[in-house]
Amino acid sequence: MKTSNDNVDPEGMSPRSLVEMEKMRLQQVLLRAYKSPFYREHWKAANIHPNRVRGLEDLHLLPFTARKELFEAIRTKRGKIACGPINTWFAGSSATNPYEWFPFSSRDFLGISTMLARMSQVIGLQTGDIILAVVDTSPRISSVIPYLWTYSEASRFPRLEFIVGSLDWYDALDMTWIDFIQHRRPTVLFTSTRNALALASKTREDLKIPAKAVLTETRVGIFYGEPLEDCRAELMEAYDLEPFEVYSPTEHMSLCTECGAHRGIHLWMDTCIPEILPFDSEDGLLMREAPAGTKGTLVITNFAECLPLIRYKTEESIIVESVDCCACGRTHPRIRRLPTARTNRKRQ
Amino acid sequence: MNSCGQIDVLHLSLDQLAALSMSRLRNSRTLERAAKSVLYREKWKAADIVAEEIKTYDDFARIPFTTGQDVRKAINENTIEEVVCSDAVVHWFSTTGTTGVPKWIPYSQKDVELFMEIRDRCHELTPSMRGLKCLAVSAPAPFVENGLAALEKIRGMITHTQREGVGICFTRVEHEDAVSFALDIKPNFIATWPSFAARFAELIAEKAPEVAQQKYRKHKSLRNLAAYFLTHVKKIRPRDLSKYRWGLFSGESLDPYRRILNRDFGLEPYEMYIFTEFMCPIIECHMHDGMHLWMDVCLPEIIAEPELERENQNAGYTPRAIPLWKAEQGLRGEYVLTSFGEALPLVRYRSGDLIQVVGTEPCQCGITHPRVRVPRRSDTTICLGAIRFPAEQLEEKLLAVTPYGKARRWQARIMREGYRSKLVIRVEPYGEIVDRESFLDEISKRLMELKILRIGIKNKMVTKPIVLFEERISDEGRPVRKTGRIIYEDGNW
Repeated sequence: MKTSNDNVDPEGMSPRSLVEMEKMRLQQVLLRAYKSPFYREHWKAANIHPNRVRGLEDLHLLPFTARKELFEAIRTKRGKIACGPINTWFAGSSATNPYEWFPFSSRDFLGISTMLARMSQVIGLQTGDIILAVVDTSPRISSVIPYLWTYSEASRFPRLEFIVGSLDWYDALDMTWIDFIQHRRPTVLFTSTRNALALASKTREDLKIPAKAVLTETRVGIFYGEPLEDCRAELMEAYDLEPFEVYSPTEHMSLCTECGAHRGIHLWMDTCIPEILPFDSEDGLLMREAPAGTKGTLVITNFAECLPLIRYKTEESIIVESVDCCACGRTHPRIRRLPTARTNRKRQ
Repeated sequence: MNSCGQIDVLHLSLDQLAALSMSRLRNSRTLERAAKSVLYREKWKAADIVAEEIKTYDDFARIPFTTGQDVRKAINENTIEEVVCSDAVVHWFSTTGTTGVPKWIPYSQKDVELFMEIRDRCHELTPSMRGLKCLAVSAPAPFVENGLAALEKIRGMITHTQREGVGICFTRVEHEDAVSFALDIKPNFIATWPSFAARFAELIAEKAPEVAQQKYRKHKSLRNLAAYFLTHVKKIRPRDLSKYRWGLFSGESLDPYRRILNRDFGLEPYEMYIFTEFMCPIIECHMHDGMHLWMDVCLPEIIAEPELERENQNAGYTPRAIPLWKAEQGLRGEYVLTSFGEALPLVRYRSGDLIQVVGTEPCQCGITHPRVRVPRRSDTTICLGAIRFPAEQLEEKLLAVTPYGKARRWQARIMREGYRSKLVIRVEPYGEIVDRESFLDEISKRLMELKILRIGIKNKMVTKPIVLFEERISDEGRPVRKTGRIIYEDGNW
């Protein structure tokens, strides 16, 4: 759905314009979400019709959507809960389920490439950068990301070169993959925090050298998946690079990115309306109204076509870094992710 | 010309296709670009090849062949910039290393776009995917199948093909959560390796009773109870769970599996062939009479089997290739490819794959591009369907010294048991064997050290090899060094 704001660079928008954009997109998405039996029943049970939500200030009238509840509905009803066309499925994971499937329309899927372009720009990737992408295998969405990154219609990209690999096949390739990496000397590492730790540990064990001795030219690390905070120092030491954290769960692939100021992850307000549910409260706060230092659960309302997230409790514990303009000049609020029990389990 | 004034490339005569192939070779300046690569430079200089002087096929045929080993060596021993012919590489893919060590192949965006164009062309030859629910089982990165699955998905979305897709990497297929979801969407299209699909059908039959029981326990409905009982009186096949319409199979020859796939999935199988070095697919049309090899995007040649045999017997002999457009029906030999790629054009590249010319006359579907089959590798790689490894690795295990004695020669006979490849190996003793049974057990045990074979057996893609003792092995089969022989028994290979 094209809006009048689509031609504006959302990164440089004023806070007021961002709010205006959110307001308009909210009304559109609620009407669409109401077509989903999942939201319709959910809202009926809470005795609320989306017509009553006239602006951001009314968002709190809608009930929260629990992650567990949404994925249980997908598990049992499959595509029937979608409110837009389903063109593909990918699976994320949760503490209890290794495969949490989520549907995407073509627009949702191809839209990821726009966010990848933005991520590249925010992080400062340059033409000629060679990206080593250590991705998970399908049905994980990371398996297609390097290809969406070079998707030809997204002409705003710098020219990048990709070596894509996966740890699934690391052993079977008998180290030839590592040999080639050493030969090609990638400048950027793109992987999950968990894979980065695993790769560092493998090079240490198998080659008896630290990862930085393999990735000698790698100046930037882009880490998604688990929160980076508690292993940032470990990864910097292992790889000798500048780490950037990206927050982008499968169900909200907006690639929210830390900028060069490293003062939190920018939540892209043109892709969602973020709220925080403080740990000591049952009421959500719009992110733009949250005082810095507020700790709580991240709640997202996004504008996806196939299955939008409406007041979706992400199970992500965050702290609001700031809602003021960043040193990089961007106006989108910044958060930090807090390490969770789930992260710690995955690291083990 | 078609009504839009463009060349109707699918229906040109064979002579026109040959001329087009040669003219695209020249117009793309493939040889001039390739000549700058360290992969070709010295070799061509030694053979007195000047790229600018190549005008006719006869000129072209003077160019020395390039092998996978040349590519591997060039990439490993030089800076990448000295090898690639473009500064616009976007992706690297690795071969699986069936000949020993994997190779890394670069692709530019223009190369990827050519894949997209040919992919669209291939889709015109097969039934439509519109409205289908698609299940694709592919390989992990860094293999080309991983990239192709992703690019296929992206292309499908760009071209607004209304379909619903689920992709799973074969390394994840053991995870029931992943597979059961994929089956629950009721796919009616599948894309994967034929042997994998055949095994997948078996797994469904094996697991159906257990899954039905779990479903009934979770939700005690009459329907689930009936389903549970049904699994005890009937062998459940994929076709019982979903209405498959068609399938696209690649990675190995489809012929040995066609009947089984049709029986178990109830689908119309289509064969496709790609390889890492040139990822433009060739595909069969609805006539199912060979795969159309697109002569407008490459210059295909074939080294006939007698020439390969001569080369095999005389290491110094350089075999002669003939252009595919001059090959006779039924000719079998090694596929030699010249691509017009941007990142790394392949010039007279010996693919190592055996092709059989099905026909160079126009197909009944109307398309004029020659049709081929790809039965297996043309070199001494042991081909057990999707499971492949170099014969030299096999020999290392067979001729190893054991506490019970040693073998002098070996002969591997590759046949089928059902759809599965079966390897029967005979070993000839070298001197005295202390305990024959223990000797054979020891060799069998050592064979399990071949990782890819072990994976294939574990996943029931191939049967466990049988090792037999034979005082004097015959000279039947293709020689491997002076000590081994390989025989492909089935006519379908």
